[in-house]
Amino acid sequence: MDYFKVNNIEEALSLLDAYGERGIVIGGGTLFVPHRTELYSEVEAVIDLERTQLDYINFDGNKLKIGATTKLASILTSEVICKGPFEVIAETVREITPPEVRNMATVAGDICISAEVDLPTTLIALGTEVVTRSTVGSRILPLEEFYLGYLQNALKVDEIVTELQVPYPGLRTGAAFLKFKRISTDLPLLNAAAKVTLGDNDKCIDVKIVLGVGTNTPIRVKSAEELLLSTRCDKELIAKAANSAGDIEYISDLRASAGLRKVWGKVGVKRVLWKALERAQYKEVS
Amino acid sequence: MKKRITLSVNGREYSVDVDTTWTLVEVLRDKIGLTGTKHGCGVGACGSCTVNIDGQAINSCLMLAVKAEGKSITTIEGIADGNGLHPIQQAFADNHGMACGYCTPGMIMASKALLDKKLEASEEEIKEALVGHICRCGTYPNIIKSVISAERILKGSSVLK
Repeated sequence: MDYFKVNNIEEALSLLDAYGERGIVIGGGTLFVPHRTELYSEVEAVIDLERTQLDYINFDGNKLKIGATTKLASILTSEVICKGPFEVIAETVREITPPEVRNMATVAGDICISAEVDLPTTLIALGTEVVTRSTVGSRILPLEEFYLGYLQNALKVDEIVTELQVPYPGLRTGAAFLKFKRISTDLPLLNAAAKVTLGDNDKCIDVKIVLGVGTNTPIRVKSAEELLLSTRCDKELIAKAANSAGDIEYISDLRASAGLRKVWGKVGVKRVLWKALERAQYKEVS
Repeated sequence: MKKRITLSVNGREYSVDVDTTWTLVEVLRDKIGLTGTKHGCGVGACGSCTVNIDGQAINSCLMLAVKAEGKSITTIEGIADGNGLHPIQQAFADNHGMACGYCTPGMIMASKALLDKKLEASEEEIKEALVGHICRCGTYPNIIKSVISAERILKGSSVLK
């Protein structure tokens, strides 16, 4: 196995071009290293992005831009994320344990794993877009369309994720995240996130509800969203919306059975909706 | 593939021949001979291999040794100044913060990373910093007690200085 600690993204792209399927791009390497023999035995070249200077968090008033190699730990020290409209991202990262892993793992790594992770659930609810680059150019795609299956994402062989762009959620918008796990350092058996925007008369004018790990990819709970749109959300309606998360075909694996996931799915949707709604009501200005 | 790298461990430079697939904990223990760092689960779930890199606690089983080149690595062997134990080590000894001792180096390194950054850490913050550390002897209450006691000692010594 060759190992390259590249100095810039161009160098990484040309190496990836040369190695194709036999090359793997890493940020922190916290997934690749423990699974290097069982999942990645055919990898011939590791391309480490650590020195590519993609470690940044900027907010221009319109979009929050997070560089690919930003460490998860940096999210928790970023003032622009920890306080204000993007707070839910920090709340999500705090649930990714242990802190030792947050000190190594990167944001783009967490996004690209496409398995039992937390960040995509929240970021899809916030309408995040993924910026990728290859030797022929760059493209932007919604994170919602990024996941194709378990351990499968929409990245082409020669592409690298360089940045995440999270739109400013706007006024009277609240968001919430919830994770269900067996022990404090486990991967999620299910997670849920919601974003609610209120308009005149407290009517819900925009809502996104996402469930992660319940199925092979994070999914929007559109049936629940439809129930809430253009209405004044009350307890009864939220309970009804949450119930519709029971219609999803959940997966069974070592962490939880489909039956248990179905229960948590409904509970998760209910709780994140409540919290997001509460936050939207109190955030006249943010 | 073999590669010659230079690792900076506890302020000393070590030039070692490593395979690119080896993890940092393997190289620290088997090539450099610093066996204080323990190899546990190998997947970042037990915390026993914790070392500090540039002041931050990391799982050395999750880092390739080649990735650690150019970074400042501190292991359990490097925290005492030569004239006795580091205050955190002393606090673990005084408060019986261990039974078999296998998890202790990891516990101490994670506590050190926390206390170096924040001497006013609350009990809750200490627990949060040690969440990824498993003690199969179940010494947790004494471990927390040890870190709180170390915090007091360190606060005292920083006032004296």
